Amino acid sequence: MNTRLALIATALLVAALVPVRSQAPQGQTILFRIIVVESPDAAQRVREQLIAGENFPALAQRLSVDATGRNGGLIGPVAITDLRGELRTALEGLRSGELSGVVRVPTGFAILKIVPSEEASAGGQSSTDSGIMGSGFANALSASGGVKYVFDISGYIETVLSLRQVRGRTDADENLPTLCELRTQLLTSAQGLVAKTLAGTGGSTATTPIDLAVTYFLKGQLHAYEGKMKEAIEAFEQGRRIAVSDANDLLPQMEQALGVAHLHKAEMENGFFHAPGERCLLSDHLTGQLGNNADVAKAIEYFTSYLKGNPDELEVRWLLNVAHMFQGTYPDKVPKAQLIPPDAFKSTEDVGRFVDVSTQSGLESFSASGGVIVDDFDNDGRFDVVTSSILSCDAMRLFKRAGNGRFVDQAEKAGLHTQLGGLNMVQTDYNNDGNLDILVLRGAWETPQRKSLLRNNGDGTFTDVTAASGLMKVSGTQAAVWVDIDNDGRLDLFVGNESSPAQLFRNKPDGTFEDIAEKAGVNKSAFSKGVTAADYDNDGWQDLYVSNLGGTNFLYHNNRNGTFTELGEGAGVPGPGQGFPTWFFDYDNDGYPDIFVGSFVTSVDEVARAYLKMPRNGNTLKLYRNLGDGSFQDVTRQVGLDRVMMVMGANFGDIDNDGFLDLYLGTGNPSYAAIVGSKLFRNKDGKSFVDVTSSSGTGELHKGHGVAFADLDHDGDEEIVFKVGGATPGDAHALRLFENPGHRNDWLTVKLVGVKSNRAAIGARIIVTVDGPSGRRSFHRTVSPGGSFGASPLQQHIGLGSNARNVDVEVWWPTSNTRQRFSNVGKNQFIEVTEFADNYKPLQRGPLPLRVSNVNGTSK
Amino acid sequence: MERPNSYCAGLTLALLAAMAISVVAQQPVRHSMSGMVLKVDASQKSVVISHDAVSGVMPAMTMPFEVRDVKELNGLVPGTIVSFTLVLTKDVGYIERVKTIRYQSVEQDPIAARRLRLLANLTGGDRKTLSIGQAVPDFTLINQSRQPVSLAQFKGKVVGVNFIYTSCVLPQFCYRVANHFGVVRDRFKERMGRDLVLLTITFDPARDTPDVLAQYAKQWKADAKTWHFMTGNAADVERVCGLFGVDFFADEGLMSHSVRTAVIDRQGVLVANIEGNRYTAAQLGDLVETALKR
Repeated sequence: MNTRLALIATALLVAALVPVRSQAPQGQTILFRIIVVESPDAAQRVREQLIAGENFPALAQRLSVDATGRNGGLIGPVAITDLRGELRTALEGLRSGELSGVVRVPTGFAILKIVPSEEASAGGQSSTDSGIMGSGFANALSASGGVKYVFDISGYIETVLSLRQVRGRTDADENLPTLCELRTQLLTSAQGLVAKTLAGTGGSTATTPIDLAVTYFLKGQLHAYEGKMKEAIEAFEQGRRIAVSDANDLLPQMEQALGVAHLHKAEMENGFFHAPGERCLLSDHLTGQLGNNADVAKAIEYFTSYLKGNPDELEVRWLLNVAHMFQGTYPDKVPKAQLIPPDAFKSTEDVGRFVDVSTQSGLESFSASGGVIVDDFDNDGRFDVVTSSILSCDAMRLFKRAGNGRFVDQAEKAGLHTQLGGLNMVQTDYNNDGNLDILVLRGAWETPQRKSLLRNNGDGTFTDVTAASGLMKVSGTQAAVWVDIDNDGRLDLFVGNESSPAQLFRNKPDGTFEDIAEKAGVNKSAFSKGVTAADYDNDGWQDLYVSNLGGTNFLYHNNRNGTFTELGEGAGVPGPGQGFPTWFFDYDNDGYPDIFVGSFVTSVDEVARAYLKMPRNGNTLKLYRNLGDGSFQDVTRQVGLDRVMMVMGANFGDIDNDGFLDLYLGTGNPSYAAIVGSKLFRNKDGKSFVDVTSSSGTGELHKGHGVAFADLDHDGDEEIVFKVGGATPGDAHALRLFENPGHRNDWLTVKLVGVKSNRAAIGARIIVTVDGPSGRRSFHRTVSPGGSFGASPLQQHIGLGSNARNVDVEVWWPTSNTRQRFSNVGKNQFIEVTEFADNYKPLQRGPLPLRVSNVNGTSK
Repeated sequence: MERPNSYCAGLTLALLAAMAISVVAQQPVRHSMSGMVLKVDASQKSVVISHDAVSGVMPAMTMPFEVRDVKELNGLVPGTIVSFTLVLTKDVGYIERVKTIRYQSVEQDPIAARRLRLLANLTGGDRKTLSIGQAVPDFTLINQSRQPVSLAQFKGKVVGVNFIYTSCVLPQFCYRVANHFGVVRDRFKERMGRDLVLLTITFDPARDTPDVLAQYAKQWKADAKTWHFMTGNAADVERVCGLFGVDFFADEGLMSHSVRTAVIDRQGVLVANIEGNRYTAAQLGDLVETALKR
C-alpha cells in the first residue's frame, strides 16, 4: 500500500472510530483558526510551539501552507455541519481556546483552535477576510470536498468519449440517423481495438500490470454499456486476477466492479427492469424474491470481501444491503456491522399505497433515460403520453389514450418514429393554433446536437419544423422553458445549455425565432441542467431561473423592456452549487412563487449517510421561500428537505388534494452502482415536507428521469408517471405509472384558453379560494408543465382540502393584465376558462379506467 | 523555518557524520527514505534529493547524495519521485537501491482518467507529450485579467505550470496543487515576476472564464502579473495540456483528469514534469530553486 493510500486509510479509520451522531443544530456557527503544515511530525512540532505559548495567528502566517495562513488561519463563522468530516470531528468536543490534535486535510496536516468569543467579537469582525466561504474554501475544507462519488460501472463515459473524438467529421450533430449509425459503429470499433490490444495484435500493448488490468476493466465497461453482463463479468474477472497477483492496490475496485456487475446481471435476467411490479420499491420490507440466485450470491461475496478491507465504505455497504433485499435475506443475513436497519426506510406517515398500472393501461415504454410529457395532444379530453430516450437510436413514442382508457402507441402514424434520441422534452403551443407542439432537447452530457420542434398539425400528425423556425443551432441541452417574455401573446423559448451561452429565442410574428439572448442579457454560460420561468415579483412580467451544475444559479429579473438583470445571489437563490431540476411553485400558497432546486450529488455514500443518520458532506436540495419583496429565504432545513440526493427527473403535484404541492424526486447517474431510490415528499400545509416514500410504494430503486403528475383516470386525483431508466442500453427500464389510491379531499381541474395571451395560457395564474375546516384560504397555481425534467399537463389540477365550500376562482392573465372572477364554482369537476369570457365552461370528463385488460377494452 | 531554503553540502556532511557517530556498532546503518529528485550529476555520481522526513531521525530537507554505482541514476530526472536506502558507515554515507516510484494512484478519479486515456489512444491516436530536456513550444492563453499571455514572453525566467479546473470537487487534486503554488509564491516572494512566473492552466475553459479564474485566484491573492490563471479556446487548451501529458475527460459535469506540475527553465526547456499529487509544496519549491540557480 502506498503512503497516500495509507494516509487515507488512516483518516478513514479515525473517522470510523467517531461514534455516529446526528448533525449539529442548524445555525450553530463557529470561528476557528487553522495551521496546515506538510507532515504529521511538523504538525506535532507546531502543536508543541503553540502549547509553549507561541501566538497562533503569527505562527499561521509564518508556517501555514494553507491559503488561510496569510489571514492568521482564521476561518468562519461557519456552520460546523458545512465543514469537512475531519474538521467536524476535531472541533466537536473542543473547548474554546483549546488546541486540536493533528488533523489530515487535503493541503496537509492541521492544528485547529476555536477562537474564544471575546477575540471573535474583537478581531473577527474587523477582518475583511473573515467568513471565507468562497469557492476555494468551500472546496478544500468544507464538507462538500469530502463527498465520495459513485463508482462508475456503465461504460457510458467511454462511449461518449469515442463520440467526442469524431465530432465534427460527420453531419451527425444535425442528422439523427447518422448519429445513431455512428454511435453503433464507434462502440463496435472500440470493442475491437480493445480486444486486439489484449490479444497483443494491436498497435499498443499494456506495459504494466495496472495498465493490463485497466484494459480489461475497459473491456468490461464496453460490454456493460450494452448490458452484456456475462462478458463484462469475464473481463472484470481477468482484471481481478491481475490485481490479485500483480496489482494489489486495484483489488478493491475490481471486487466492487464484479459485485455491481453480478447484481446488475441478476436484475436484468430476472425481469427487474422489464416487469418490476412491486419489486425494487424501496421500503423496510423490500424483497426481490430471487431466493438463491447465483449472481446475487456472487455480488454478496464480492461486497463482503471488499468490506473486510474497507469496512467504512458506505457505497458498498449500501449495495450489500440491497443485494440482501433482492435475495430476500434482508435484514436477517446482513452482518450487524453492515446493516442499514429497516427502521431507516419506514415512513412516519401514510398517504395510501400507489400501484404501478403501466402494464394494465398499455403504457409500456421500455427504454433508457428520457423525457416524458403528459398532455392532450389531440384535444379529445384524454391525456396522451409522449416519451423519449437519450439513446441516439431510440425513437420517440406517442401513446394516445383510446376511448376505452388504454394507451396505444401511435408514434409512427404521427410521424414521430423518426425522431431519435432526446433526454428531455417539453410541450408548447408556439403557433397558438390550439394544438400542443413538442420540443425535443438533445446533446446533454454528450456532444452538441440538434433540437427538434415538432409542430402538431391537428390531424394526428406532427411536422419537424426546426430548420424552418430557425432553431437548428446545435447545443448540448436538456433544459428549456416556453415563456412569453414580452407579453406579445406568443411563447418565446429559453434554453439552458451545457458549457455554452444560454439562448433566448423570441417568437416572431412570422413564425420564426430569433436568438436575442445576448441583447436581453441572459446569455451567461454555465453547465445548465434546468431552467424555469415565473413572475416571481408579481409585476406582470415573466422572470427566468437557471439551475447550474458546478456553479451558482441565475435569477434573471425581467426589466419589462426586452432585457433582464441577473440577481441570483443578491436575491438569495444561489442554488446548491450542484443544481439540477428546478421549478417555481407556490408551496405555501401565499401568492408568491417559490423556488425548488434539486441538488445532483452523485454519491451513493451520501444517500447511505442519510439513512444511517450520519452527518452529510454534500450539498442539499434547496427550497427558497419567496418573501414577496424581491428576495428569497432558504427554508430547506426548516421544512425538512435538507437531504443530499442525486436528483434528476423530478416534479411536483398534489397527491392528496390538500392544496399543497408535493414532490416526487427521481435519481440518476449512469453507474449501475447508483441505485438509491426515488423519494416522495408530502407537503404538510406549506410548513414541512414529510417523506412518504415507503408507505406510498413509490420508491423505485432505479434511476428515473422525466416525472409528471396527472389525473389519468379522471377520478380527481393525480397519478405519477415516471420515465425510469439509466443512460445506457444495458440500463433500460419500464416506465412506471403509479395510480393514486385516492382520498376524500375535494378538487377542481382548470383548463385555461388564452385569447390575447398565448393560447396555452402558460404563465397565467389561477387562485382558488374556499371555505374549509380551518377557515377561508386560497390555493395558487401558475400554468406551466411544472418541473424542468418531465412535463405535467398544462391543465391545472388543484386540491381544495376537505369539505371545501364557497369555491371562488380567479384567473389573472398577465399579458392582457385582466382578471376573471367566478363565484360558487362547483367543486370536484373539470372546467375551462377562456380569456375575457364571462363564464367558465364545465368539461365533460367521464371515468377513464387505467386497468384495461386488452385492446378491446374490458375494464377490470 | 521548518526546512532550510537551500541545501548546503557542509551542513549535510556534518549531519551525516553526526548520525553515523551516533551508531555504536561497526555495522553500517540503513534508512529507507523517499523524496523528489532535484538534480542529477552522473559524472560526479551524485543526485540532489528533497527528501521526506524520516520519523524520529531527521526532518524533511534537501541533500546531495552519492551513489556507488552510477547505474543507480539511470532514468532519474528532476521531479522524479524515488525511494532509496541511505547507508551510513563510520566514514561515509551513500545511497543505494534507488527506485523510481511511478505515480500509480488507484484512486477512483486518476484510474478513470487512465482508462479513458487508454481508450482515447486506441481510438484517436497518441499525443505528442514533451520529454524532459525538450524546448517547450510557445503557446498563448488568456489570463484572469483577460490579457493574452505567451510562454515566450517569460524567456530568461523560470516558469512553473500546473493544471486545474475550478469546479473540481476533489480538493486533494486541483486545490492541493494550486495551493502548492501559493506556498511557492510566498517562498520566492522577492523573485516573483523577476525570476519566476507561475501559470495555473484550466482544462475546463468553457466554465473557467477569466472572471471565474480571477475569483478562484483571489484565495491566494494571486498577483495577475506574476501568477497567471489561464484559459483559452478549447483547442488551444487541449494542445497545451497535451504537451504536458495532462488528461481530462468531461464526465457528468465533472472531469476525470490526471495531475501534472511542470517546471520550465530560463531557456524555455522542460526540466521537470511531476505526475500526481504525492509531493509537498516544499519539494516543489526546492525544485524551483534548483531551476533558479541554473
